[in-house]
Amino acid sequence: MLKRLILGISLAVGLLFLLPTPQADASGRQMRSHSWPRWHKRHHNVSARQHVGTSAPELDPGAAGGALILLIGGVAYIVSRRREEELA
Amino acid sequence: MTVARVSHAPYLRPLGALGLLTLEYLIVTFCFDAYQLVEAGGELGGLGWMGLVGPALIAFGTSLWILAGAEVRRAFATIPALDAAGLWPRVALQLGCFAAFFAVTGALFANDSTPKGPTWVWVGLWLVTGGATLASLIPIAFGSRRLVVLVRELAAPLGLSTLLALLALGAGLATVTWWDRLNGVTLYSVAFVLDALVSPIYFDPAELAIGTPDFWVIVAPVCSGYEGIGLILAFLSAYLVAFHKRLRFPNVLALVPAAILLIWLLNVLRIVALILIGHLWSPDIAIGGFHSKAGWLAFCGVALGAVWLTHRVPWFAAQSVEKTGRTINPSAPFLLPLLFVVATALVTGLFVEELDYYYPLRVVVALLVLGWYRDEYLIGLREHLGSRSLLSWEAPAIGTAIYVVWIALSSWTTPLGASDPPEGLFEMAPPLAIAWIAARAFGSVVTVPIVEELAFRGFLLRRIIASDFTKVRYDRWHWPAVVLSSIAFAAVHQQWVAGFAAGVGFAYAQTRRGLLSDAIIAHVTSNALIAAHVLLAGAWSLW
Repeated sequence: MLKRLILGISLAVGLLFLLPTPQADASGRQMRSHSWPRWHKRHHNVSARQHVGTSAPELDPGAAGGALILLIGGVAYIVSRRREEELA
Repeated sequence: MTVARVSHAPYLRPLGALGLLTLEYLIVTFCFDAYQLVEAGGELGGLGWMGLVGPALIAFGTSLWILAGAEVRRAFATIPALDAAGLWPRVALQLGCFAAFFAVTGALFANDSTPKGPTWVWVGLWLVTGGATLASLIPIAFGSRRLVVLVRELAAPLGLSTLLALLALGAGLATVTWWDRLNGVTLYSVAFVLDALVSPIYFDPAELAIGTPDFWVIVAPVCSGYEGIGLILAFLSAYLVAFHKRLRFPNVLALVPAAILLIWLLNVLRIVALILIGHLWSPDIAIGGFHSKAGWLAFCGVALGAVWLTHRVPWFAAQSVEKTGRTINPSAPFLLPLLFVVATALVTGLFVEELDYYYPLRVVVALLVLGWYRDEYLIGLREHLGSRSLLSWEAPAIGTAIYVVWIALSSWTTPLGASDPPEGLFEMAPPLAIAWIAARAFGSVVTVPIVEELAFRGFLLRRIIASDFTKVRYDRWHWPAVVLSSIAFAAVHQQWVAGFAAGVGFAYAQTRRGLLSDAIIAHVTSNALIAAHVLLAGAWSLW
């Protein structure tokens, strides 16, 4: 039971880490992760392309599908490994 | 032709109620932003915090599943079945309550101005309709009499789960106040590593800016590693629960802090690499593919590495890991082609901006892995085919129908007429552009259908039915297996709704004659028609 309790706490807390709280939403709107407010204007090699407000989270939801398939499929593959006699 | 449907009647009522609740929750959260009421302040400001109810319920549900999953399943198995005549009035009542709740929520949350009339009346209406929406799920899930018995049977885990949900909710709120501290550590760590690699660096802690004078970024608190830490904590906890019988406790718990530390360090290196790519190579690639995919690759690497360790290191395993004896993996021919293709796409995706120049590499990788397991595929095909013909008119017909559905569903979100080709395609030399299009078409029509059908129908659909999927015939199915495998199939497609519908169609093709090859042929047909649509009509958005 203690083992389950520890795991329950860590899973529940882990999920809550992932879910945006209202304050997190507010922070996110004001300053998104890795925002590029401007290229350094003194340097010609970054040109006039503006990336003002360009932002992406640490884990981009747009790329989540493939990553989750890789993760779940990878786990399924690893745990499927058996000794021959176990399958007999 | 009949197919073998597997019954899961005992859990259908509570699972159906849970599905309905989830759907309604998603609709409400998609349509309304609770926090805008907090920002707006005023009399309704406090109502905005009700947005936390959803996360708290999720925490409650996961805690209950961990603490008393077996007891809950046993209790649910005794719930009597309900015929359609008894079920539909209850569903209609529940939907009516939700419609009322949705309307009141719209009046309170969607408008900038406060609705007319006394505020307390609206808040009261919102609470009453919300409570009625939840309460009306009870007759669908268990019946009110049964609920009392269930609460008595599960009193201890229900109470403990409530406490855990509150604890997790508090922890989630508390972490927001820690963001700045972790962000400072992350920022200075990035500066330390970067300073060792390039000179000079641009570092402004007050603005959270770090980089080189040419290319610098702002590392906001939400980018300081919290997402990775939360995800790895949730993943490892779920994994340790699901496979606890195979693992040695408390030894495996040591993996949790180690994985958290590693994912944070990798996030530091990710930001350093991003700056270096932007500085030395291409700012567009740095903020495009690399920024989008590097975090996921790091997370998948750490998570799968931890899982692999628990299966290979005796200290983590409940039973001793024999070093001798031949091991086999029946899932390998089904899963590895897709896993290699997805991993290749993620890695090459790090270094592209718009057009995926490296797409042909995916085709080569798929052909190599399929070639490696060709004997297994041919033996399996001969076994299942028997005296029947490989070709039938049904599979191409199902594929054609899926093409029509795909186009119809895609038309909601994507223009189906001529559209601009991917940026960069026709900037390549003509022979290279033709070769890229040929590889794209070949991949879409040949390798993708084989790779995806092996994984989603050949493995996943059957694995959901039984843990030893090799003993599940290809004509067996039940709705949870079809729905879940189709959701997974949709997850790797940009068109989620069309992808889900196609997944269901391919599952039907497979179960109809009990042949995986029928699903592959249907998939080949639909993808060939889509490829023809793209090339003949110039509808590049479909690719």
